[in-house]
Amino acid sequence: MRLRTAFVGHQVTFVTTRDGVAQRAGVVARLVPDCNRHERLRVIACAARLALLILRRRPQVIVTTGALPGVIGIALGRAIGARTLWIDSIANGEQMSLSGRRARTLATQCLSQWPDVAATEQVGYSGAVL
Amino acid sequence: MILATVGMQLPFPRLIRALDAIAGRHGLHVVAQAIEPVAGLVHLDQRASLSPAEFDALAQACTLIVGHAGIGTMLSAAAHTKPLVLFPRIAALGEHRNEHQLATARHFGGQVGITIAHDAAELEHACLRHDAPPYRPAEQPRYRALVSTVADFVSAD
Repeated sequence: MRLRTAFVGHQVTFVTTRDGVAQRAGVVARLVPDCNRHERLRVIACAARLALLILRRRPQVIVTTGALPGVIGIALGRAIGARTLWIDSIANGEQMSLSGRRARTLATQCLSQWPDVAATEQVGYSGAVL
Repeated sequence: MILATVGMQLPFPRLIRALDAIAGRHGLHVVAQAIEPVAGLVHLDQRASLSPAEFDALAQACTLIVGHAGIGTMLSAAAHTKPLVLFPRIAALGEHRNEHQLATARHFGGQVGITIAHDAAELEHACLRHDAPPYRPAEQPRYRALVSTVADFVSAD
């Protein structure tokens, strides 16, 4: 949400796993089930919803800060030829998340919001939301 | 009113006790999201849990946010444009699993709107300031740099 101004002039579909967060920021967002790697059924449910959304909307670009739903989104986006950007969450100040490490090999471009983490994980650093 | 938060995971009695003493000495109204309220403190309005809506309402109404040096604390101050005091947890005192909050305090300490307090005296000084500017990360060069990188990525063909 804090990066919204970067999307001005484009047709944007926001996707979130948490109901209410987008509304509080005054944005309409599609809801997908949250998931993590320990819950196989939820991973499948999340991937199915994301696949439907991505097939319907055919995005040219996907930008995400994670976590596993973001990785799935990037993998699906890659399959339809979208360019994908992973911005590791500002919360990961010690090391990149597991999702981020997975996204690093899938995404067109991968950034950390912490210069030291970016150097260690060999990804880009280009500023931070905080 | 000052809003204090220890985050969502671990209690932080050193911060809560220090705030209680400061509130008592100076007659300040302090509401603290404490997870596990510390018994026997009379100057502080401690809450075990606050709903997101309750927390938002308090964050909007307060004049200052004080919290452990967590990203959530910073996002709250940014969302409500309030001055922010960060009081980092110290792992050597058993307050966290490692010293990353000290690293966070060092990393963000130079920004306008953020004051770092490492002990009760620094915290007291920070709570009594009336001229502290609000925390506006969107005015930081590193925020503008990230937004422009994302905008370039989105617009490139």
